Amino acid sequence: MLTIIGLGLAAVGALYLIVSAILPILQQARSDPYTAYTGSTGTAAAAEAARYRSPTEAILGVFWRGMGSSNFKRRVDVGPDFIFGSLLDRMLAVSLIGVGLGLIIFGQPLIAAILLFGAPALTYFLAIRRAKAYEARFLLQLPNAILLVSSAMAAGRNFVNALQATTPNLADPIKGELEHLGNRIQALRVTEAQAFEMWAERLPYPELHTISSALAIGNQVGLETYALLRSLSGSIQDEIRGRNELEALTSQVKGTATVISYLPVIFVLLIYFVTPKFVTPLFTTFIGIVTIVIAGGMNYLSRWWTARILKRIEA
Amino acid sequence: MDVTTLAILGIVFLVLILVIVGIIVRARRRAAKAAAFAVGEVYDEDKKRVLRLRSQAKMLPAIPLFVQVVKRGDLPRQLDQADVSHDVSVEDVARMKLLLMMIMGGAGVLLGVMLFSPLLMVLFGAAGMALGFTGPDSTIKQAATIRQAKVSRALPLALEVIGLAVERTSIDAGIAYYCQFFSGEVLAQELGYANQRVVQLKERLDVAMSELLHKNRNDDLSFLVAAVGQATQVGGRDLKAMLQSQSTELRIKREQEVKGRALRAPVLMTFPTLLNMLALLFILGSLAFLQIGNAAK
Repeated sequence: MLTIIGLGLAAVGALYLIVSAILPILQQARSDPYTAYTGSTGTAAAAEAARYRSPTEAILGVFWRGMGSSNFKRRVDVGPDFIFGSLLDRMLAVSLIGVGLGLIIFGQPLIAAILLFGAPALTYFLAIRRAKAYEARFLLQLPNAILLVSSAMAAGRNFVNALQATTPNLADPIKGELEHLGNRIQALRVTEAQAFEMWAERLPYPELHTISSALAIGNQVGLETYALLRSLSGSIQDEIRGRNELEALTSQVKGTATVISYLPVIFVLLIYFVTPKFVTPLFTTFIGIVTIVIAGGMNYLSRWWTARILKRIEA
Repeated sequence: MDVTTLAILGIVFLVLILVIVGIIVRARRRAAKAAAFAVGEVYDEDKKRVLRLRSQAKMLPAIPLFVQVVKRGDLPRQLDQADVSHDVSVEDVARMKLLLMMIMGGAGVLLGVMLFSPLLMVLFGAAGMALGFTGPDSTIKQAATIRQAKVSRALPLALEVIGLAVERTSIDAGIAYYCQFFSGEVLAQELGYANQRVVQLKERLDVAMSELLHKNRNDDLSFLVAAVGQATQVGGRDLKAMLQSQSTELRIKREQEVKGRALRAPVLMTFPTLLNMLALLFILGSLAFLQIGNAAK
């Protein structure tokens, strides 16, 4: 019986994975995400309406709308091939496949329950790792790329020409991103500040927002773009260096805290797999339940305390 | 169904409800944060936490003794630094203290009851009340510290942006541009208050900035205030270079501070780590106790 349920769940998960991979492609073919900037349909609401609507977002509703906030979305939604909604779709599909395989292979509901959360968590972890790697590479190249563009502009080229002259000598991912930027400015007839703003919307890194805001201020007060970019390059480099240093200094502490916070759960699970009878009273007796509540409370307090300390360090 | 099973079901049900409520509350907070980010507004979570606690405690009386304790301490200054002094009075803080004393004390007593020990009940109850009394101090201090840290963190870039603007315009306009284009920053909000005073109360900008420095008591802001003062009184010659060199200084200072804090972190993390290890030991001890009980039967 469990095998049949497992097969069903895995099949539904696989089907969902295929359908949710096709949906964004169809959506992209139907709409132009830059309509708000070309002026053809007019408003940012039109661009928002053209955005890919993930079926998982609709299914999970308010909880995931919450998860789609800054911390989650901003870190994951990077790269030209990366769409937040499709990550959610993939997580749900992987979760169903995980439960199905857990039931088929192991035939144990507990392992299936672990895979229900473990499989999407792994997908999320891999996505975060990929996003972080992209961000790190991009930010390493950004200040130098800006400096090169500004020096080309100082030699008398306009912004688009300077981009065209500079990008062939750069490496990915900044090369691809700057080529997109140049194409966008030419196709949509927007100013440099507007193009940077669009870029900052797509890749929501604070550094891009800083550049777009500084360019907008420069436009209003009448500063030369090349001088502005040259000044900003140094500032951005300093900001990035500061952030990276902080991350390097706190990463060890963060890692240790995370591992230790999961230690009680991992330990109990390990004992359960070795001798289930030894752990069962924890869930079937009054003292056992009280123990779980108190230990859970201590774990929550410890996590809250850790988060508070880390917040102060990172502030 | 016997009493033990009912008790187990009751506890499991209670924990489940707490977890579900927790998930919904966190999701709603995240949604609010995302909404603020989307429109470029400041989302100050710690400030909101203080305001939430105030509204939860507003039905309670403000005990005069607590009010005096709050007045004589550091809290009024911290309320200013956390930007909540307009909304939260010292009486409100006294109410918050009473509320947390009741909640934490009650939780301590409940824990004692669960462990079937009158002595532990009294001890945990007293410890909970003491913890509850200091609870609002910690929340307000956290809000103040984090807000001032955010101000300091945004300052180097702000000085550079204002420095770029003063090349072609006045420092007042530079600050106004910063407030307009970096509206998601706490510093922009603070500078916006100063601008508001200039527009609405017809104050001079240097006076409004001095008021800002007095409110925040953040030493890092002093150079910007001094630069505004100089620009207002003698005109801002070489202001751009000065602002940029100050920005570099502030970055070096911040780097050193971060290093210091990061080096202290492992020591500070010892206590939460110990708490987790204690939870693990508690589970193992309880399992051993249950097994010995079973064997004795």
